[in-house]
Amino acid sequence: MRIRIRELEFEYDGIPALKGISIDINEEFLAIVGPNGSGKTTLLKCMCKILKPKRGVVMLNGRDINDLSQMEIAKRIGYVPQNVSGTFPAKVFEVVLTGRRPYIGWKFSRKDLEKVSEVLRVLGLEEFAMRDFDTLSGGQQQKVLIARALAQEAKILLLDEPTANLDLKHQLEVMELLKSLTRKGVTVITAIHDLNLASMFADRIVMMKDGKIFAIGTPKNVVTSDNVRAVYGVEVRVLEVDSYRVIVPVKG
Amino acid sequence: MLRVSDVVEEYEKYSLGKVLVILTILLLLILAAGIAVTLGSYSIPFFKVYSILIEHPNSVEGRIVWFLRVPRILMAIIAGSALACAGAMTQGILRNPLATPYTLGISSAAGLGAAIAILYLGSYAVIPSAFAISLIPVFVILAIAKMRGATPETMILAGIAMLYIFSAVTTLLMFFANPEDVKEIYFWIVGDLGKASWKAILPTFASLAVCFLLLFWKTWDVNVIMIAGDETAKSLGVNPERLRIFVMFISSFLTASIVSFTGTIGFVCLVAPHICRMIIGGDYRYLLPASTLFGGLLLLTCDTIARTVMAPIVLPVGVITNCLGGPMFLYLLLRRRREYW
Ligand SMILES: Nc1ncnc2c1ncn2[C@@H]1O[C@H](COP(=O)(O)OP(=O)(O)O)[C@@H](O)[C@H]1O
Ligand SMILES: [Mg+2]
Repeated sequence: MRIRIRELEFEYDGIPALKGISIDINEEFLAIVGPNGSGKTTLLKCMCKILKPKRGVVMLNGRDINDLSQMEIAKRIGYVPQNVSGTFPAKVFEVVLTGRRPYIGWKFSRKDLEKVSEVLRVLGLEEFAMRDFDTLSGGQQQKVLIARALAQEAKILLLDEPTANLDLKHQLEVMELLKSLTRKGVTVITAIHDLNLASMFADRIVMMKDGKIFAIGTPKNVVTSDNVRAVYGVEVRVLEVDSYRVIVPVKG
Repeated sequence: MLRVSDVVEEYEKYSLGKVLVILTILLLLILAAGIAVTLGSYSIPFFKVYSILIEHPNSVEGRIVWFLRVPRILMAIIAGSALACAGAMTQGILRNPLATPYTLGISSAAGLGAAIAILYLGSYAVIPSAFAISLIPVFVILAIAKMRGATPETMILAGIAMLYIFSAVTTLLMFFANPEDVKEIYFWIVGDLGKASWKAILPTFASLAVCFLLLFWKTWDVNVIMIAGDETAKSLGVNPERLRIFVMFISSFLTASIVSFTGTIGFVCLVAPHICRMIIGGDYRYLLPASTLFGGLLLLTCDTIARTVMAPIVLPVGVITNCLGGPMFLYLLLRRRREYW
């Protein structure tokens, strides 16, 4: 599936958060990086109509998403929120089952239940299936939310800092998983803070600053010491280790 | 290593357990009704009651059973079920365990409607007046939600404002009323099943049946907004604002149609869903039927106590629900597992 975003603008109570974003996204692994408050979350939310942009369009395979119902969008785009919130107790299985909402009117079939347990197995969560969601660690909760988006069987996945709560092993595991999804034809778009992880896994990187796109392209072209200085105001050196690019801060 | 089908089976077993709980509550309800019909201030032997139920004799005892006890028992079940059903849904869509239809101002508006009827129109007008006025806060809250967004906070705060406004007006009316009328208004506000009659059963039951089905149809969406939150619910295809308005309207209508017959019976709508949630968890596809049946059981039990504890004096059932509900609620708060739910 292709996404085209043109001249997207968004305001929170009159304060602009996105100032004219245009991107073409194909089947790929796209990482969105940028400092806190640069508009990554807002951009993701505009892409699945959680937020309505003030100006500009988001096109899905040539159709304006404003012409699609929320349910039609839900079948095509899965969204994994950043903050794992909610004091409401529910079993992990029930949380993932909500991902089947776009397909189920009221009664689930055996197939829906099997889909849920299948994605739990893919993410190694099957032993937690009957645990209360809020008794899981932050990282496990994050994986459950990814599982829900997978249960949604969407061709496009939007993720908001999916690795933020995870230890190194699980960070790599989640990124590997996302990478393997792109090989199956899923478009993965993820906001992420870790420039090293982004460079390692993403096909392309969008670097945002103050609600605008500062740079876009392959990791090699985007993650440079000049760009990082301009966007984050930090001096870094970019090294190359085993053909991966690694960013190391330089002490002031 | 668990296989896919193992996880599915585990979930299905878990769901089956919930169905069994619901059936148990239903059984208890039937049992309680069977016992309640044999109890009362006019003592009729156990087996006599059942022969009356079968034969419909036109004796004094026959009339007591058929025109006093049976409609009162049915009304207790219908009212308790309806209040618990509306309470469970309101707690869910407002994501607040203390929210009930009463929080939305319905009880105090109904109280004002009853007071106006008792003071100025005559007691024949109590039911229509209570019903009509109790819908006012519903429309005010809907209007505010339209302007400011249908968030739980907006709706709860608007409801509490309604509650104060309507209570204040009622108090003002009572201040200038004569003592007899004040007593009647007060009795109404506490909530009572003494006026239950066959005539009241049909409309209240119809309202319960229709509203229950409409609400049950939305339980899956309520699960989604409770588990996922408003924003993510949108990405799953649910419109949280529209859902909230729909559920609020139906729950309020259901509550209004009940309290206009019985007065504002407290605590059932708050406590019954809580107890059920502790037993079978928060999945509304099971919680709603469980709460509904349990509410009926709870109010029937309270009313049976109200009829027998100080016999031949029959207490208003609202006194019993409040007396039992308060301590029960404190107990629940003390042994709750989590911050809220
Ligand atoms: N709900 C909100 N209300 C008002 N302003 C917001 C809200 N959410 C985000 N913002 C503002 O919008 C800008 C972009 O935020 P966000 O998209 O969350 O950035 P990021 O995800 O890159 O950290 C920030 O300046 C932030 O303060
Ligand atoms: Mg963010």
